[in-house]
Amino acid sequence: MDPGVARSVGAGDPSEEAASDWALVSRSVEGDERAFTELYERHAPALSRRLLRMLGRPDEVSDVMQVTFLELHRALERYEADRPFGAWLHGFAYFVAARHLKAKRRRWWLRSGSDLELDGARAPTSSPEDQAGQRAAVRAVYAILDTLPAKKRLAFTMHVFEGMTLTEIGELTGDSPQTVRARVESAREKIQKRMGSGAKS
Amino acid sequence: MKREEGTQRYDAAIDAVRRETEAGLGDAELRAVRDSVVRRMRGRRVSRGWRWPWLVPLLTAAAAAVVMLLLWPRVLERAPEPAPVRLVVRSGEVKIAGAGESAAAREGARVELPAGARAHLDAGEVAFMVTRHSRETEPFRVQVGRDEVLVYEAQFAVFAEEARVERVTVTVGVVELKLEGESSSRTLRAGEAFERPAESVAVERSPDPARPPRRQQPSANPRAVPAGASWDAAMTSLRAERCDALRAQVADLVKSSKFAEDKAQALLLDAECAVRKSDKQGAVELYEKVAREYPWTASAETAVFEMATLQGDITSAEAYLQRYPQGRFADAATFRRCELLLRSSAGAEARACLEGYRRDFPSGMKIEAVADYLRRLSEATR
Repeated sequence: MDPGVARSVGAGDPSEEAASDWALVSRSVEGDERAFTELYERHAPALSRRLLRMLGRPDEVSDVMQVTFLELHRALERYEADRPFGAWLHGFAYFVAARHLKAKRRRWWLRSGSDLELDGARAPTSSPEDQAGQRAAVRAVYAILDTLPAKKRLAFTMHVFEGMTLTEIGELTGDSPQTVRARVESAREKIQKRMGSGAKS
Repeated sequence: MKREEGTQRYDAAIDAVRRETEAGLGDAELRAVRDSVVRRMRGRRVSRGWRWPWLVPLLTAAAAAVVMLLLWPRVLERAPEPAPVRLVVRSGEVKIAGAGESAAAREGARVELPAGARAHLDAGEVAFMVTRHSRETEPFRVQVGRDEVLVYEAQFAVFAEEARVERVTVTVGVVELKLEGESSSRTLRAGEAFERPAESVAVERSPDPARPPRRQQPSANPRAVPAGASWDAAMTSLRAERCDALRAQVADLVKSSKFAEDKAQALLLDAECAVRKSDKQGAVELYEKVAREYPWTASAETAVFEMATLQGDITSAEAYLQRYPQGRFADAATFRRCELLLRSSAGAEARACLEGYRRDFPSGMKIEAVADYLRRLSEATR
């Protein structure tokens, strides 16, 4: 099970959680709005964390989460109990995020460095100087990530920021671990190279 | 050194991202997303999958049927059309082969041929009218021994003797003639004829060299006629306007001439004599006779046009244009029709006619007059 989902379901018994998810899904399918809200409450925090790492911008995370849950709601009938709901949800979110990033790359002229709006106030930092330096570093990383193809970017963020294994990422994206590795390494190399050239200047 | 610095910067940045993004969205943001999702999902049904899987092939078939119905007229329109060939056997016998069948048509027969048919002629005279419907159509072929006539769209007549092409006259369109023993083929255009002399082969112009070039009003001068004493005598009678004597001579010429073109030509002399004597009715009857009895000849086209000129009405001009839309006198006939429409105060129709002339005959003999008419029409409507 991937770490994000593990975090999302908390420390309870996974089988109980799964049964509970299944019950909520069944009730949602029957039109129970509360059940769907509960599903959201249960899984949204972990998903938002992963999406924030993938995308780097809270406003984009909000958009992608909305689309993800709306599409998920329409597809609930297809959910099968033999797969953890969290993994299913994150799979959905991955494809929505990839679509979003592809669309964003097509609208490259709308991008700018000032888009980065990470809320550093929630992260523990020691001093205002450190906060400023940290934000600058984050901006630099996402500015480079913005130039990468969506699949490379997502593989890199899930592996490096989230700590997911190559196999876990492959299960989520439907790719082989070797492919995922190639994407991660390619992204890493590019980021390091760009950061090295940044250091030069 | 620089690489180390870059690696350090990379590691520091990755740590920074991890820390900055660890918390995800705040509670307020998550609530806002939830509210938005719940609001938007109201009224949207959960997809319950496809409950009627048998509908898929049914709907596909129905859609295919609708598409076929919509496209079928275009398919029909675009399908390679056969080249309809009509022929009239004036003399002799023509063998028709094609579509796995063969047949023979004898003197007087009027035949319509399917696509891909070929005509074989050993001896006799056959008039053909070939209509081309699409560029994909193969040329229609007339085989005369080892000679061959290829045509896409034309009205023409072939006279053959002893399995050799003796004469080809083209009324409308273009014909390609391949003769045995010649490395290159000959191209005959409307108004041109090929006649094989006794000893050598040559292409000659139309049997009527005095005929004005394509799309010009025919001259009122006596037409040049085939050589020969009988023809000379007939021309002398015409110049002297001795129409009675000419009529007898023409009757002899019609009787003795081998080719339909010559017979029609002789009758045209008779008609012209009637015109000179101001016998309009007699001339019209003779022109009608030429057009009716020798419809495949170049003289028939001349007759129809002369008739339209004599009668001077829109119907006659339109009759010519309908029969010979690409004819040698289409320019003059179109202009004549436009003028008659102008005189009949049919302004809109006249304007359309004049604009049609300008489009179809951009270098026509009456193009300046047409431009002048159009200008005056525009001024009048202001």
